[in-house]
Amino acid sequence: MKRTLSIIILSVSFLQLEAQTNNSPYSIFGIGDIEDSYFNRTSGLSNTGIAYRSSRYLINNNPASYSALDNDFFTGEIAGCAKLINYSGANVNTNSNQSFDITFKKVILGIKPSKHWGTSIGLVPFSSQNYVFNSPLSVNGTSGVIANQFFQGSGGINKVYWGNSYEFFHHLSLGVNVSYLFGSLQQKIIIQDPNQVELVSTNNNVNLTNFYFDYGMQFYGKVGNKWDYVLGATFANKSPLNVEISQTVLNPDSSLLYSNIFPLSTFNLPTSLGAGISLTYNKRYTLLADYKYQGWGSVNNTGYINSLLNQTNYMNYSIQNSNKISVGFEMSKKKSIYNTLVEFAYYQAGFYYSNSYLNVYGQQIRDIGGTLGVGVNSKRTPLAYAFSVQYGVKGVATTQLIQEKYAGFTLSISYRDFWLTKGRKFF
Amino acid sequence: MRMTEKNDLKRYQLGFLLPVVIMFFLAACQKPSIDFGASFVNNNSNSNNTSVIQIDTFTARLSTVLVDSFPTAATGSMLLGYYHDNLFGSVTSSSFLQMGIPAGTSGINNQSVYDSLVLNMRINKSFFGDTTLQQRYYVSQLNEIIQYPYSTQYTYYNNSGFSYNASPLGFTDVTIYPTRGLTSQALDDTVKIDLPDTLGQHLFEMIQNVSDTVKNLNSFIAYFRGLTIYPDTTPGHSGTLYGFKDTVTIRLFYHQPGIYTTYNFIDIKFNNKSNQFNRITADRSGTPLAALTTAQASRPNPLIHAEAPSSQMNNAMYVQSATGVQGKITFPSLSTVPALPGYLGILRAQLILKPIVGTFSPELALPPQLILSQTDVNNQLGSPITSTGGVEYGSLYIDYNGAGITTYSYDITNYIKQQVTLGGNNTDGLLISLPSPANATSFDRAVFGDATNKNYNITLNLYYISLPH
Repeated sequence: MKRTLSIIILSVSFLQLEAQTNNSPYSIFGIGDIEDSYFNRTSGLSNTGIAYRSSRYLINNNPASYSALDNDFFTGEIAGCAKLINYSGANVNTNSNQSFDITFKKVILGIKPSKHWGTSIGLVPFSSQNYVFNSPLSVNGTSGVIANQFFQGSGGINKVYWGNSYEFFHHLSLGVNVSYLFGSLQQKIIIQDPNQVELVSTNNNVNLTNFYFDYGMQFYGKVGNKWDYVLGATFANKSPLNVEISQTVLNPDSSLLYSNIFPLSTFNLPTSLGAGISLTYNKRYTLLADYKYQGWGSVNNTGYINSLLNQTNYMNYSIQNSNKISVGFEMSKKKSIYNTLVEFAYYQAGFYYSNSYLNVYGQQIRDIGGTLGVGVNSKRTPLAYAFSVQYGVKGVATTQLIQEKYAGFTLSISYRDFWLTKGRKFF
Repeated sequence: MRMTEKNDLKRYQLGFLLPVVIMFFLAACQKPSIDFGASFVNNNSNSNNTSVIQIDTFTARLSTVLVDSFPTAATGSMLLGYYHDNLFGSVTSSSFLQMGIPAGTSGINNQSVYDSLVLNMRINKSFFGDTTLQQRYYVSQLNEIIQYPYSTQYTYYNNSGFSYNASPLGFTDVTIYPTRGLTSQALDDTVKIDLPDTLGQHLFEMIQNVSDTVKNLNSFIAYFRGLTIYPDTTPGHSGTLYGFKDTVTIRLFYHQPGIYTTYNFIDIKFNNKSNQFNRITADRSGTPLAALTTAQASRPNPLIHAEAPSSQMNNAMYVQSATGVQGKITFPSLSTVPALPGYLGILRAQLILKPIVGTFSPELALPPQLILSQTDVNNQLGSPITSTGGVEYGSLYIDYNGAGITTYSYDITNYIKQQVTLGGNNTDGLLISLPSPANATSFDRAVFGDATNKNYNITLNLYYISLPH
């Protein structure tokens, strides 16, 4: 147990250290790319899992799922994701249009303190910002003197959560995640002369923090002998993030030219709704579907925070409601051992279609893709591996927009052991 | 059994941890630089972002400073001539120098016969004025030895001088073709002045007699003292200033009679570079620069170089270092810069000076280099303006035919950065002069119009960093 904890602590420190190297041009807007993947067992199902319950895995898609965990077990999961992106668009330089990175994505723990109560804590990404742009800058007061602006953004918002769910009447589970969102976005604008020699750099450090609550419900039962069903729903209320922006303007020799700390302000996160269904046949074949909605359109983020978070405040760009549908199919290989069904492996496929919260140049940025997954539960060790591949297309390649074609490879490793009791292990 | 369990633990712990470590190292890759173009980002300066703003509306206040005296010794060049310039007045330059003892005298004996004595000086191809005019140069022997009049004086100045014999030893009329390095005397680049035989004969006899006077340098200087070479200033004999090398030689020709007469010479070479200097005088009456002479005469503090504003000098500023004339630019309103909207700091400051078209020509040439030096109300020459590339020389772009595109341009960023912080009414300034050694050897000059002059063309381009705050 102590060793496991030390591994977890080590993993957390790696999560803090990891550096993203992929470019996400759309992350220049708002608080960056909002993470809609969970890097868990549902990754191969295109993250379709609002109505997924698992006794072995932590399904953080819906806080109501933790009550499904096996009694007396302790579960820990870590995950990483490798992503290869190919960029296209009229403005993209075709000589250099690919990037690749591997990032550490989550560390979560779950336990079942009592028969009906499941609980989980974890650290997962909430949003991330990662972009590099060059843009000509007209010098005011001149006729055509041009400098270069180099835009660079990095950082992101992390979510550390404590989720609890409780099962009522054997058919209903209610859950809540109490999260703390924290992180900072580092946005840098370097003005360069036409030979790209730095003239001045402006550094905005945007710190975002606050508590965040999201709720989940799952209703489940059987239809006949062969069919199991789960209906799931999630909800998060509109909630503010506290924003603290510090700004420094530096000379090329890094000496300070100007610094400013803006008055505290808020950035509102929208109301989120999700609904899902899953149908399982013979404990082996599961079909799932999710719908998610975020009411960004009614979030009123105004003032300087908005213009600073959106450095392109004079551009044709707006935030609007986002939605996503996803479906997945899973085939589980199970064997009956001592009258208990034990899963050895599973295969998954999924598809998703989403309209993001960004509307750029009059076009809502779409993200469409599919996933395939395979999972293996180790026979000799308390480990289980979930591997999935993803291929998707985000945005369109037009004169103003950029299209990202991406391939993702997610590996989630699960470790479980008895919690408190030292009973016999069943695999 | 226990051992096996422990080993199992280690193995799966490794299986858990290893991917993390691998991911960590792979994640440390360099972010690729992908050029996404500009469509996502703002390319104007009107946003809340830091921007660069240029203004060029700062008025430069121009004046001209007259330096009382400046060193002209040991420049390696003799400036000789007289010319009249409608803008700068009449300029005369003569040179003083000292001669050493005769060398190679061992060939002279009692049978040797004196032939002639000449003074040779070689042009250095620099000139100012009309090169078609014939020049007359005189050479006179000094009445005094060239030496510092005070123990605190260590050089000679443009206004230094020693009395000389009013009746010259000799003179020559010559036309010089400086760019070709030739003269009308057809002795390559040498200008020859015949010296009187009485002097030659006397020197020759002393050499024949192995007199101490021609063997001991101090004795010879006491005897011969020195020479001054000066131009005839009358029309027909003048109109141009030429530069000569300081290696003046007096050549004494003699022959050795016999069955085969041999002809030979000995040289008396110039002595001590530090004792050669040019005396430069200017008569500014009747020109715009007369105001400077007035200012010099009426100034309350003789330690402060005289200064006359452009308003008293045909609305222009003048530069001719070899006559002590320096331009001065001040920007009285620099202290208002920090109050500009959103001002954070100076990014770049560029000073562009365009000489008034028509005031320069290949004969009345612009200085190829002009330096800016810091100064204040006392008009003393301070340290020159530098940028990252060293001293700024103005990188002259010259066009004799074009209207107004001849320019000197300077990066004065460091200077302006320092000046904007001073506040108040800025009285510091920049003196414009030729760099050394040209400041004492070149008569190149420039004229710049002030703000009321229709040919005003002095621009301070100030690029500053702005951030609305």
